[in-house]
Amino acid sequence: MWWRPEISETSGPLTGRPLLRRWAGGAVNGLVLVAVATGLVWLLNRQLPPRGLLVVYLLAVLPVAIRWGSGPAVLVAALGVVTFVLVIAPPQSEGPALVALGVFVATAVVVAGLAAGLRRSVHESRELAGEQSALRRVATLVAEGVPAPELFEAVSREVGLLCNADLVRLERYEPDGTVTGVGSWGRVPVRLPVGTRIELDGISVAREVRRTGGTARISSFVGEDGTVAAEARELGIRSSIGCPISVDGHLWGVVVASSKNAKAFPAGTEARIQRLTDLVATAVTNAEARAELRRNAEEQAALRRVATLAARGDADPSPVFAIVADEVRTLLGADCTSVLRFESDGSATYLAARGWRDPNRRKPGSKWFPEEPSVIENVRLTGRSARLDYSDVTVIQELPPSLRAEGIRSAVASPIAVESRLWGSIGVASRTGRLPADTEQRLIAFTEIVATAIANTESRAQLASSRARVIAAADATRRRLERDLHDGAQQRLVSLALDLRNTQAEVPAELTGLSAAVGRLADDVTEVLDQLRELSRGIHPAILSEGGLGPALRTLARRSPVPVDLTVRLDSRYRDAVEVAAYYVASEALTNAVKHADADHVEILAEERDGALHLLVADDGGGGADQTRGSGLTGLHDRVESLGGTMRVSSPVGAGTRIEVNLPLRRP
Amino acid sequence: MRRCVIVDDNERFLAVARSSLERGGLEVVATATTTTEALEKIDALKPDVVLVDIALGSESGLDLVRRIVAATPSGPHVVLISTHREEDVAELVSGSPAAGFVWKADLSARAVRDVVAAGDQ
Repeated sequence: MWWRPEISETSGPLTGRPLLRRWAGGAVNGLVLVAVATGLVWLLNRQLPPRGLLVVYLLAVLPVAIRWGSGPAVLVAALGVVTFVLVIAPPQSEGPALVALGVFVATAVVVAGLAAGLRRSVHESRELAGEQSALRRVATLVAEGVPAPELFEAVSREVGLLCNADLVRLERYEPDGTVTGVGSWGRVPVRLPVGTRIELDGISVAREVRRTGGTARISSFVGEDGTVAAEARELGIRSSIGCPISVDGHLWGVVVASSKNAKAFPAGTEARIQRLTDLVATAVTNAEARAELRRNAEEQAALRRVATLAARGDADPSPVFAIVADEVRTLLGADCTSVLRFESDGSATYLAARGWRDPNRRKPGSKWFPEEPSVIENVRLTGRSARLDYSDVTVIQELPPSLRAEGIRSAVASPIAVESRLWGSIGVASRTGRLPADTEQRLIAFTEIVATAIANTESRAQLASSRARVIAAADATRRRLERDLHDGAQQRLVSLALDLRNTQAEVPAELTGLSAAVGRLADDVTEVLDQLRELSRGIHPAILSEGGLGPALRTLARRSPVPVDLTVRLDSRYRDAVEVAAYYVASEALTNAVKHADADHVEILAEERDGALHLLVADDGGGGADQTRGSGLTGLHDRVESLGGTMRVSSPVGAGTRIEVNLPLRRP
Repeated sequence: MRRCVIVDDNERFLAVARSSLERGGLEVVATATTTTEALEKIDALKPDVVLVDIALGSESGLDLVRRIVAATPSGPHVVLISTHREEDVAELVSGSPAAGFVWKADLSARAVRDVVAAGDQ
């Protein structure tokens, strides 16, 4: 529409140059219109009385009033009336002309006011429409869940266009007092790219917003210090406004709009920006909720992995420590982790460590000695989680020795309590900044699993050692029984038998009956001796104590009714429990082969290899040996396991039985 | 071959064995119940044959046999004796430098001479 002015002309404030342009435009156009009106009046003057024609000049006044305002219109009204009086008017027309001038001026003021109001409401409705569509665009992005950087860029752009700024930055407040740029848009080259951390050391809108918690406005950076002021001066920024972004009631960040124009942002701009930032808050809440969900899922998965390993209850829990160190480091975003066991002398032993610059100091089995200030020491002393912040430490000697070369800024450790006894600690450390406040809480989930794994392992170890003790005690009893039989009954019977032979030899030759009777007695005693021998051999093979495993196995092989192919590669004697276990396995396997498997041939191999005693018994019998049916094999299994060894039995029906035993020679 | 030493930790057996061997013409010049005592007496008396019980209480008769042979390689014949039957201890006997084995219940001068003779062949 012809009366609709360009936004740039009216939206700009009434500063010097547009005012001059307005008056000049009104005057020039008014002059032309007055000339046209005068021409028209001159033509009409031939037919009509001149006094009524004065009203024609309204045609010049009204457009000027609408387009250029009341001032130029008043000027045009005066010009029109003067022109009429000088060029057209008959004598004595000054009175009516003055009246007409009054009417013209009043009309000009009213019409100009109406036109200005109309223009203002059109402008406002355009602005509102612009803001509404900006809000809609941002809301759509939020609803689509676009990645945060994309959303932040979009919001920066919308704010910039909406309030006609030269530069817009979206910044997030960090716990350490700085802000990080997360989005920006500008008509000027952006000097601080997204991701830059800015110290709020001098004047800045961000600092004001954080201080007041509300909107802020700065209209001059002249003579100010600091990063932000320096950037502003370099870009020619003269005014800035900022609006807070609050997420869940906490100040999360700020939107800062800046302009080279010192009076760029009219009152109410903050309110318009605020409506957009509310959407940012929603998006951040959503994104954080999603991140939290993902983090929870990752944490659950990590815990499951660790728990699975721990639940296997292996005799050696060190893989659990290693995986815990790995998972904790990844999950908590720490740079370094350590798992330690506390010792009774106040020191500790490293079980696993990851990410340290000096890994040698923290190899599994390495010692840790009490030092201060240290989270590990604090856990050791209090039995509770501990946290230390080293970021303010300037003198290296204030750090504990183990951290001096590590560049650690923040450390947290939590206790591992096994059956309510302080057993050890898991520690994490960061080189970049403070570890999050929930670190302790999240560590505890892991320390609990480690504690369970240790409790399992310890109870297994206790079970194994108590089983070993029971078996060893039974063995000792059998050995003593065998020895008592040997030293007592057998020894006396042997002497008796020999004595009877001596007596028989002393009997005079003519007493043949007596001699024979004594001979029978001697034979009887010998028979009893043989029975006793069988009994004693079943209790404990004397050959094993006297000669060791090699001779004992050879004796077994020689006595066996089935041919035995025996290979013995043993150099020395081993501890009783190992020799007895190996002997019983061979003896039981041989008995099975003969009695149940109907074997024709048995192979026995015994050798010392890699710090363990290996025993193999294989027969060519019917197979199908069942370990679960309370056979002698079950007891042997227990015996072998109690020594930390392994026993494998393979006995497919029809394909022979193969028993392999591995007994560690070092005491578990 | 006339002079003999018996090493055994059972006093009753020593007495019975002495009478059995001496009836057969083997003079028991000394008996001993420990390794140390046995080595001393063998060194002093230079017997022709030494009978050693495989089980010498807490000591090992097999060790004693090795020490006797190591001390005097051309020394006395050594015969192992035991309350165990030969088949139970054969592995130990064959693994030792002893001339042979006699079961204690079968002990006689003749049995000892047979074992030594067989060991000499």
